Amino acid sequence: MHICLINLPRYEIHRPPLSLAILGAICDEENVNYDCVDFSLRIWQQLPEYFTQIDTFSITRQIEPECLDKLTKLVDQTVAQILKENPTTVFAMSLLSTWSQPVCELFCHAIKSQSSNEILLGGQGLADEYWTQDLKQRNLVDYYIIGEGEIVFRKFLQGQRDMPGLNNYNFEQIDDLDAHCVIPNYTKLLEQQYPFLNQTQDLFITASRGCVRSCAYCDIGHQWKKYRYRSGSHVAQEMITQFERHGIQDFFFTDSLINGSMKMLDELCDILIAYKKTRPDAKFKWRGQYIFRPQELVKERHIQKMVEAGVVYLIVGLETGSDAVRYDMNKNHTTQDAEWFLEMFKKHGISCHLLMITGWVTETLKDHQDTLDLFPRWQKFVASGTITGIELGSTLSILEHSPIGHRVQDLDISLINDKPYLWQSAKNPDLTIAERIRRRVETHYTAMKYHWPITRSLYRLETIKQTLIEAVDYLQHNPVPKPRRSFRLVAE
Amino acid sequence: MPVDAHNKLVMEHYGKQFGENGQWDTRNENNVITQDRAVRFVSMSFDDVDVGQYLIRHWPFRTIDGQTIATDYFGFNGQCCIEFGTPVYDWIITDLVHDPTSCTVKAQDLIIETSHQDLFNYNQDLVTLREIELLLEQHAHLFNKSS
Repeated sequence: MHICLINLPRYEIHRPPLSLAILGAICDEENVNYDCVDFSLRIWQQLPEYFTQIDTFSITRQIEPECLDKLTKLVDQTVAQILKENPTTVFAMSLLSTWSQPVCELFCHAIKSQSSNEILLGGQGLADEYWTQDLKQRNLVDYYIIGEGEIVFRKFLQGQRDMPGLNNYNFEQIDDLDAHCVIPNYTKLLEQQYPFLNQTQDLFITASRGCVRSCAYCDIGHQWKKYRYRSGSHVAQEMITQFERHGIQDFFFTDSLINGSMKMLDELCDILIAYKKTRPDAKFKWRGQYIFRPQELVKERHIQKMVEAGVVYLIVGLETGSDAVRYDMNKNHTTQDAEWFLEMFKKHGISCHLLMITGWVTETLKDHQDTLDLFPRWQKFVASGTITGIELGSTLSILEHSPIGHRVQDLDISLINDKPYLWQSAKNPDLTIAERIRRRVETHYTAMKYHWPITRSLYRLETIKQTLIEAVDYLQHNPVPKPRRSFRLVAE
Repeated sequence: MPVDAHNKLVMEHYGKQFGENGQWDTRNENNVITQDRAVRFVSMSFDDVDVGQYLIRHWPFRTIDGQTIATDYFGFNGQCCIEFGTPVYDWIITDLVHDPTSCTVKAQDLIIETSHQDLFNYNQDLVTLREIELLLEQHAHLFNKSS
């Protein structure tokens, strides 16, 4: 058997895809020959002028005919090349999210038109069961893996075809990650020319799945029912292996949070600190998402230890300057707690990136003002290089499977055109769509006034503009929608 | 300390003797300085923000005989002059953190706009913000408390 592992857009092209490296390692263990094709990277390298358009196509499915033609040709050429090198290969495609679906469909058509080879799909991009079943019924795919692939993909390579998680949604989560997670093999991927950031090679790494919080706007609890994590020693072993194998010392954790388990993080730090003493050339640097906790639960020594182990940069969901709103979001920390962490980051040299949401369902003008007040108050953290970016977002979308999505009836929420970003709550009538966008604009101006570095600003502003145009267009031709009882009732 | 919009902070090393009247404040043995009189710049903070890391790049030491030296060791007579503006955080961010020649802060980890490297450049932001504001003004009548 030969497997061709393909990574699909939409995927960041600055680091090799972790999924392919994991699947590659499983192939190694099962003595199955394989190759890797990172199609996101291939677009970046071969169609750079169309990269942004194809990125947008992944989200909206809208694309100019000329761009679609170029993309289709590149897909056809890629498939033909793979078949030429390995005529009987099984095509295994990794879909990071549902945004991978449009290009995946192009691949399925190209493969089936050029061959009768089998196609296997996997990844979070299959969350939409209707889409997956449709492809299967139309014989555009032969197999799909739902949930975590470590067990099912291995059994697939061993020849099993009847099991939970293969061609069905009866998947089981892995409880003991240490027992099933492999050390990813990047050897084949690193042969490709990745445009690494800052001229240093770095890799993704995942220490946990799920989240310990249930933030009201987030649907990760729907995707991962239970928070599970690898042991600190298991994670450290992966970092040390990549260092000893490839000389790579920079890592980016893909976890929803790296401090979901303080015990695991502590163990990871201890091992890395000890290893660095034996290998002075090991200068690990790692980045990831982090949660602020109540100040009294965290010691300064914890921050210090993270720095000694190599933490340089953390992304934190602050969301708002209002404690009331943050409480309503289930964030479980206050602005004062956040300020303590920022002081600690400043003292110990960690830089951080704050994520914000403007226009929470219950947000009042006072809450909004609390957010605006943060910009002058925390400007010193920008000046000190502690805050190196703020993501202001494109206002709140109400996700169906998030806690707030389950409260649409309680909050008398109505959606325009069934769009999760065009909502209005009758319980907070002052916060119209226009007012939400006005507050977002005001937040942007305030951030600029105090010289904050705003990330993804143009991308977000363009999204907001399009949102507004869509709302205007709807309201000019339709009556105001009524509050709904739930997403599920509407879907039914 | 009261400050103006534009300020100048001068650190001066003066009075070091290089053989005047037979007096030497430095001792050299086999081309190695064994004893010296100097000022070492260790750190400097403005309103709790340490700016010491910017010394070498931004504030050279100028000796009285006209040499310019990028150093934290003021071994000659001369001056190191720091001109700063207020509000002081605005000055630190725009003049030091956002060094246009090195663009120190980049979207290093959340890359979507790979072309947007300068996070402090708001020119295009202003254009789009204005477009959004115009749309809001033109269609304000559509948005009331029930929409």
